[in-house]
Amino acid sequence: MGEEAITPQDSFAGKMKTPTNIVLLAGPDLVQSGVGSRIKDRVLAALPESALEIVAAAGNATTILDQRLNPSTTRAESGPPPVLGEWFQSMFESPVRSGTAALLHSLHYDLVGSAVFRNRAEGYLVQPPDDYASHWDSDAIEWLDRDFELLEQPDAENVGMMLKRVATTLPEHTHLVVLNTSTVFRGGDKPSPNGETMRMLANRLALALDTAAVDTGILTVDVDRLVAELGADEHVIELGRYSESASENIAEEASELILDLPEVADLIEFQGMQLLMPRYDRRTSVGIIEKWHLSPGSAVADGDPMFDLRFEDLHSRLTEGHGRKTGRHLRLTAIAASDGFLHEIMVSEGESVPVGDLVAIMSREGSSHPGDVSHSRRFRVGMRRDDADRTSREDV
Amino acid sequence: MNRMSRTVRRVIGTDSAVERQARSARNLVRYRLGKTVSRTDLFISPKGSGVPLGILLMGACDVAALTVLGPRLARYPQRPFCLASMASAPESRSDLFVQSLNPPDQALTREVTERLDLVPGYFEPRVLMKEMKPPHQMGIGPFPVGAVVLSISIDTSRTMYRHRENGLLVDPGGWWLSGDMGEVIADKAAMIWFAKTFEKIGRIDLEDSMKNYETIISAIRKTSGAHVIMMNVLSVDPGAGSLDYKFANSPNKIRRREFNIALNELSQRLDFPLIDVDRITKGSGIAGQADFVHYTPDQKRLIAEEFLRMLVDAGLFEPVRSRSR
Repeated sequence: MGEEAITPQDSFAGKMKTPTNIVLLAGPDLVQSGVGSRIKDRVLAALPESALEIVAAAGNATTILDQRLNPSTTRAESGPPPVLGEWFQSMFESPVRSGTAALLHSLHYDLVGSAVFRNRAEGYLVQPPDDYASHWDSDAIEWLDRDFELLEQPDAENVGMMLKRVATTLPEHTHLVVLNTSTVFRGGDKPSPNGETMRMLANRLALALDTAAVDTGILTVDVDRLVAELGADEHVIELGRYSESASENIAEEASELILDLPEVADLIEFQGMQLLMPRYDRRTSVGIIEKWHLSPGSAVADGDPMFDLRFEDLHSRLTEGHGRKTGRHLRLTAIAASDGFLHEIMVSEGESVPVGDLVAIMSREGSSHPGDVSHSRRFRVGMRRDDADRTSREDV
Repeated sequence: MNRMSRTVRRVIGTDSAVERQARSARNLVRYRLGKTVSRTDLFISPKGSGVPLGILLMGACDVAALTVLGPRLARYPQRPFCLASMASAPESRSDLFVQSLNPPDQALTREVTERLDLVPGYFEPRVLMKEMKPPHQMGIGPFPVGAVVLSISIDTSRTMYRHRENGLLVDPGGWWLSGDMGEVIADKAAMIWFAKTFEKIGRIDLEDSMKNYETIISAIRKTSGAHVIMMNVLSVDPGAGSLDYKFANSPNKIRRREFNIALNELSQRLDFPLIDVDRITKGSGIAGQADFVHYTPDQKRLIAEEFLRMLVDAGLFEPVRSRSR
């Protein structure tokens, strides 16, 4: 657990060089297990001369996040009691600030069905704090009861559509990072609002997120998988609350995603970047460079093919201990995930190298020498299968 | 398919020493069944005086893994039973099962079977099997089929080939996830013939898959009256890292989750029990899994326990009361 719990309205920063910031929409799943504070600790620790501010704001259901970024409705002139003014305002203000590199959102509220209310006259939505019934005064509760009706929980398909809209509304340099939920938890067999089990709703939401991610480039933190790796029966304490080790793993994956964002990585003063042999999955251990698409000095842009590689004798636990390998192979193309220049090729065509080892040195500027890259960040790549049936990762 | 892969494994649950050996998986008894049965994982218990029961497992490794239930099931001494896996991955896609419901003419299948060295009975409707006949030397059986277990794992993953002229479907085999046919079909002449004669039709559509299972389940219920139990599949990839989807055209975990959701809907509509492997494996921890469909011994035990509960719910076995202390 981080030393300092993160709560909505918290802000953490080191020496600010630029206004770059990360906005955590800290719902219960990010707050209760300390996931948010862990993300904060990890990200700031990786940037010792921190140029980054991490801002925690109250978490939202996706309906509210969508409204905040796409305010299509008008607000009633007769607002809430003055004491609710700041909260009310936040229902309509974009959480994105100048220099926001990432907006962290989770599907927790879409699963548990947080109370979201629709204004009867104007149609706009509000999401009171989870504990509003015990903290709001009678005037505020009367205002809510009089002017609003409880919004029916949106189905997963609608959540997916809203996520797409949110992702495409964000400024070019702001990335939407979304955490799904574990699909295994106590009470998973209970009915959800649509009559199916809560577990099935969690699966539908995870599917909606993944589908939206394919279409729009949303970055996902697969909480469902991370918790499952450890065992959800033991590591999901309750819906949205995870064990220490599960929370640590979730935070690690989320912070790696954040640190890999070009807008964040660029905050580190460096010239050189390490291009490493990428790992495809746990079967892959040693890759062979088949062909370089670049030569030293070449500029590379986000999405450009960099090199073709082959993994042979895919490791298989099924044959472990029998002195056998599967004899199967996998051909992929490494694709640049940001812009840069190829400075020096360290592994020639035909050579093999373990996953994670240096294959080339990249630089930010084509003309300058990147210097020692042993401690510099890695150049981010994706992988794509380029054979006939590329939709099938397992079809190998 | 090589000779070795035709070797059948047999585990006989008539002796506690053999049971222990089977559980430790160190000393499986191996023997050939000749051409009468293609490939079989068997567990046979002769105990009990009730009507014998055949439990037919039709699928890949995930389904065959249910044979671990044998020793546990043998504690239900109400009726003799035979638990048998009668198919392997290349024989278990739903469109192959549907094709087998109206078996293609032998004139069409003979050459394909010989050239591709397919297992005997590849095109026969084994999913409609009414009774299991163990080797006669065992002196027991036959076992009327009372339950058939199917899984969607193969429909989520394997590629299929179709005859360019007569439409015959075939999956020549290979490692359980579809392989490079140049490696699967070792004989060069057969490979050339295969490439000329068949076209790759890829993986099955979700809608077609569900229609196929509806057809198969209806046929099983009509023909043998057996209970149908289905298995879903782990939706996530053990050991996978964060994925930037702009590089992935159709991540397989999306496909598997789509199939799981559709299968859940089908199970409610057609009223058959579903072994929620996705929940069981995620709940117990997937870190030890080789991939999304090969389960650890602990997971197999948990899945088998769920399967046992369904057999009891279906009335195929009576609950065994725990002994009072």
